[in-house]
This record gives sequence, C-alpha cells and structure tokens, in this order.
Amino acid sequence: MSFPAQTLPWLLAHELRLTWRRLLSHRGPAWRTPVLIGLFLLAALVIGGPVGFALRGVSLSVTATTIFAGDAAMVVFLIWMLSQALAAAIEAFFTRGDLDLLLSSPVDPGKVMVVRCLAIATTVFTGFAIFVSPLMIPLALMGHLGWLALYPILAAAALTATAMGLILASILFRLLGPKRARATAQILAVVLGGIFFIAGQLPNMLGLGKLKAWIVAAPSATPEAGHLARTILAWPIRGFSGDLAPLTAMLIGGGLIFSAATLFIGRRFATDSAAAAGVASTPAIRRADERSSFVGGIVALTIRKELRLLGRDITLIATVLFRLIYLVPLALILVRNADQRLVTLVPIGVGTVTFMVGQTVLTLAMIMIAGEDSPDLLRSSPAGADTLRRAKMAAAILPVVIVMAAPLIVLMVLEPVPGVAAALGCGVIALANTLIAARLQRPAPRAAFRRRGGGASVTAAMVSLVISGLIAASAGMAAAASVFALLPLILAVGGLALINEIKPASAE
Amino acid sequence: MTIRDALGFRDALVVRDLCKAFGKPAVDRLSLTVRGGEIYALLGKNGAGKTTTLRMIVGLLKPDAGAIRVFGVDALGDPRAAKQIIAWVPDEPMLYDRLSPLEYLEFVAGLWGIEPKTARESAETLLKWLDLWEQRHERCEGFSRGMKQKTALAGALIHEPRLLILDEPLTGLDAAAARQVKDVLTARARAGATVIITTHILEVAERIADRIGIIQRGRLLAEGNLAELRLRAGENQETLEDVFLELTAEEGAPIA
Repeated sequence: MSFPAQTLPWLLAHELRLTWRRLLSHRGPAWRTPVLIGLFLLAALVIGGPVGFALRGVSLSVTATTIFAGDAAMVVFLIWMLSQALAAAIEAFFTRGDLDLLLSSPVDPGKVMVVRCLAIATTVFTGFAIFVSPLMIPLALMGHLGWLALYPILAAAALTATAMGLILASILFRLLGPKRARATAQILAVVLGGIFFIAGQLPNMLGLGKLKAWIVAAPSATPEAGHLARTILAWPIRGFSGDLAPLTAMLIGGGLIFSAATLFIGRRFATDSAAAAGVASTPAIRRADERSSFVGGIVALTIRKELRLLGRDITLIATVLFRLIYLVPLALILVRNADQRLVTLVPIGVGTVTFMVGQTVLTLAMIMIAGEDSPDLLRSSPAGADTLRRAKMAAAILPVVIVMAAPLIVLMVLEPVPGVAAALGCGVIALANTLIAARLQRPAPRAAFRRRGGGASVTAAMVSLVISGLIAASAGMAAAASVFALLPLILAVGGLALINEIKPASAE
Repeated sequence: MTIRDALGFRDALVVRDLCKAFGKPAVDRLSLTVRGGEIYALLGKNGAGKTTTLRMIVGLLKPDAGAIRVFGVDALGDPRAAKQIIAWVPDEPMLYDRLSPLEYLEFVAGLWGIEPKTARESAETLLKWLDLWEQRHERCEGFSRGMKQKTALAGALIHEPRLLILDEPLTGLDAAAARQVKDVLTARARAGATVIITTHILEVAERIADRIGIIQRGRLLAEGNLAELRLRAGENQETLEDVFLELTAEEGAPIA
C-alpha cells in the first residue's frame, strides 16, 4: 500500500520503514532474536501466568483507593515516558540524519516536524507496550480481555508525554542555547527516570506499614468515591475497567495536547535544528596547572584519561547516572533496614545492592574497556595490552567505589557480618563484570555506547546477569551467615575461570 | 662494506617476502628496503596493499608470512622494541575528541614511557612548532581536519621516533596545513629520522621523497628515485604522474 507523495501518511510510512530497518540491522548474533522472544515468553509464563491465574476471578471496582492507585500509576508512567520523550526530542534537534534532504525539498516543513514527533511518540509507546505485554497478554487470556484498554491509555500517555517532552526541549533550547540545552535535557531525563524508580521504591523507603497507612488515610481525607468517580481523577481507572467514555476522552485529550505541541514548536523546529547543527560543541577545558600534567605512569595516565573522557561526555554521564541513580536508594534502604535490625530484609538488600553494583560496573567497563576511540594508538604503542586493560578496569571500578564506600562503611559498623558480606560481594562482582566486559564485549568507538544499550553486547549482558546473580545470591546468603553462600560463589568463580580463557575481544 | 655502511647509515626498514591475505592476497611476497634518514614514498592505486603493508610494519596486523626488521630489530619477534622507535600516523587521526592537545600528548607520552619532564618540554616545543600552542587547552572535537592532523603528528613525534610512518597525511588538508606538515616531515628527515609516506598526491611525492616505491596487487612494481623510475617507464614520461600511470597501466613484472 502506498500513499500519495508528500502527504503526512507517506512521510510517516517512510519514517517508520527507516526505524524498522534500523531495528533489523542492529548487529548481534543470530540467536539474539529467538533468545529475546524466549525471554519475553518466559516472563509471560513466570510473571503473567501466576498473576493472571490469581486475578482470574477478580473484578475491578472504582473506589477511592483504586482511583488513587490508577492516578499514581498514570503519574509514574507519564514521568517515565517524559524522561524518554525528552531525551528523544533533544536528540531530534541534533541528529539531522535526512533532515537536510527533507527540509530542502518542497515538502511542508510542518509535516516533517509532525512526522518526527509522531516517531518519538511511537517509540515511547512501543517500549512501554512491550514492557507490559508479558503481564497483560496472560491477564487477557485468563478472562480480563477488557484490561487490554491499558494499551490505548498508554498511547494517550505517550502522546501527552511526547508533547511535554517536545515543549520542554524547545524551552530549554531557547533559554539555555543548544549546547547547554542538550546537557541539561539529558541530565533531566535521567533524573526523571530516577524519580520513576524512586517512586517504585517508596514502599521500601517509607516502610510498608507507613505507606499502607497513608493509602488508607488518603481516601478518608478526600470526598467520597461516588463524587471522585465523576471527576477527571477517575479516568485512568475507569478507562482501564473498560469504560469507553473516559478512554476516548483520554485519547482525544492526548491527541489534542500532542497537536498543540507540534503546532507550538513546528516552525521553531527547523530553525532550532539548524542552530544545533551549526554549534561546535567545544566547551573550553578548565586550565589545569601545566606543571601537574605529564605526571604519573601509564596506569595513572590511563585512569586519568578514562575519567576525563567520561566526565566530558554528557551522554555517557547520563548513562552512568542512570545506573547510579538506581543504586543510591537501594543502598539507603539497605542501611535503613540494617539500622532497624530487619533480619530478613538485610540479606535480600545485600544481594540486591551487590547485583546493582555489578550492573553499574558492567556499564562503566563496557564504556571504558571496550569503548576506545583510538585502538590503533594503543596497539601501535609499546605499552603492554594487559597493563592498559588493567588500568581501564581500575578506572571502571573507581566511580562505584566512590559512591558505595560511605554506605558500605556505615553498614559494616551497624551490622558487621552483612557489611563485610556486602563489601566483599561488591568487590568480587565489580572484578567479575570488568572481566566479562574485557573478554566478551566487542570493541567499538565510545559513540556506540552513548545510546542506552547501544553497542552493548547481548552475550556480555546475559553472561553478566547469570554471574552477577550467582555472586549476589552468595553475598545475600553470606549476610545471613549461611554456609551455602559458597555454592553460588564456586559456580560463579568457575564460570569466570572459563570466561578468562576467552581471547579478549579487543585483541586482533 | 658499502660507502653508506662506512658512513654509518643503516637500513631503517627491511621487509622480506611479506604476505597477507584477506580471502585473496592483499600483500604478496613484498620485499623492500628503506634507508636510514630518507623520505620514502609508497605509491599505488586504491587497494594495491599500501595501508595493509604499513599496518603490518607498525604491528597492527599480523603477516601471514615474511620478515620485518626496523633498525635491525625483528618487529615480529620483538614488537615492543620495534614500536618504541616507530610512530604511526594513519589517514584518520588517532585522537580523543574530548581531550585537549596537551592532554592527548600527556597520554601518548605515557604510552611510550617518556620521562615527564622531557615529555612536557617536547609537548611545548611541538605545539608551538605546529601552531597549536594557543589551542592547547581546547578540546580536539572542534578542530579542523588540519588541526587534528597536526595534533596527531605532534603525538607521533613526542617520543622522537626513528621511523615515522604516515598514511595519506595530506588528504583533506588546506594548502597552509599541507605545507606545514610537509615542512615537518622534511625537517625530521634532515634531523636524521626516516619517513615513509603513502599519498595519492603525486606532486608531493615528487617534491619531498628521496625514493619512491610503487606497489601493485601487493607486490613491488618499481622502486628508485624519480630519474630511475623515468628510465624504467620510458623516454616520454616527464612527471611522476606520467611515470606512475605508465607503470601501473601495464602488467609490469614485479622487480622483487
């Protein structure tokens, strides 16, 4: 099916075809797609199946509590979607791609803009749709077909979040200029993502009892559900229950907000984009004392170089912050649980923190060890490849050590056994993940790692998940002073010994 | 003993029967000798095997067969010792966009194990010589191609290499930057270093090279100074371009 040239659907079809082909051309082993589909089905079976079974006879009624829960979920969804839309919108200004071709053609620039915005909304929606599907499909199959209304609700939220992201990006662009807008938007996107995560952790951070009391108290402090159910606050839960009127209203509302936003920044888009393209992003480097430069051996110089490069790449900072922002609340929860002598929760917390440390180090190690812009410079130098690799491994671990040192010390003081278990677990998992990145991650320029997940090896990520899971389990069991802690540790060390035998991916 | 040996000249690079295949042969039993202190231009059509040859010499590619000696050092047996005296400047500068020239030189000096005080002095001299001193604290990402190439050249020279190898060093440079790079190469050769360059700009090879090697299908087709190459190509060939086109057009028998 083809649309008449220069029309909106014709342009949209072109954009979606390019997006689809970019997805298909993503490099990876042949088994990648089947494994991802397998993981999706496994999640549907393990998560969606039991939940669907448990909820098969449950009907959803519109009460003050469910209205409150629906609104809370909607806010959290919107924040998370806004985080993604903002990052995508700011990149749309800078990534010109075929924009020069489109804008130099007789096609209306407004249409080009609308198509770009629709592409952002589609990407935001698709990510969420895939995320909730392992839960929603089993639920629908087990009798809750009406709950598939979540998808149009997500579509409305995606349109609204994209509109907000576009307007925010445009405002930042005008207030701060192209260079600062990009940096600010990327950090803001990460912070919003962090808020989404922290919102999910509220029950743990506040303590379950306090939150339950708060939820129970909230309806009593508001008008009765009968009145609430007629307000806009009830739209999410009513829509989810299959009520067509609020569902349609939300979709129309999202569409209107989206249209208004595209109209608002439509004409500015081409100008801003051209301004962004003309900007040479070369912020001046703070003048260091020249006498202090050229000091240190190759290990110190390599660590300094890696940290400098990381510190000057706002996108990579955002990627790392994205990991760290998950880590900090978890560490705080762990310390809080230890302080309150919550015997069961502390070992679980030790395991979780250990696991997250591993994932954070893996991200850093992939950027620093495999992400190298001048591999030929290193290989043509007389510096030993092993020396350079070890220096890069140290550079990857250093930021996590800085973040985790204080909470781990506090934990060791409060609860020595779990504290030592957590410290050892974090140390072992950090080393393990740098080894995994060094051996399994294919080398690539740093730019490949600027997109979250981009450039990262699926093999390295999956092996890391398994090994980190084993080490985290071991740390958790050690925190509970269990002798069985040795079992997963032995398995992990065995796996690492095998990985160590693999020729480094960066070597010729 | 030849007169050159008696005067203390040593061969900077000796390549013997070098082979490398990527499915089909890229370099095929290539043998060549570059004398110490000379500028040697390696010419050839696209895909002739120039870059593959150079990448094997600097230790970035492992040859399938053959031998490479750099100032008497077996580059395949002791690559570290060979790398210590070689500098490599590829057509795409090996830079870090987010480092300043001074920080880049600091790191490169560390890679070659240069003593900090010496490295700092060399960096200042090189950056001033290449007109980069004022930009020493700016990130390389905003530099023009010429400035990037000069920064990479400064990095290559910071350890005072005895053998400087450059792959297409003048591509994309404006006249001023190209002149500056040519002057640097000539000055280094005058100071005793050996320089090997590949280039498609034949006038450059004609003007600055002491000797020229032409390779085709991975084998040395002809070698010598311009007069010797003219002699080999035929009477009517005046410029190096004429000679090059004449020699590479025919199915010439390799000389080595």
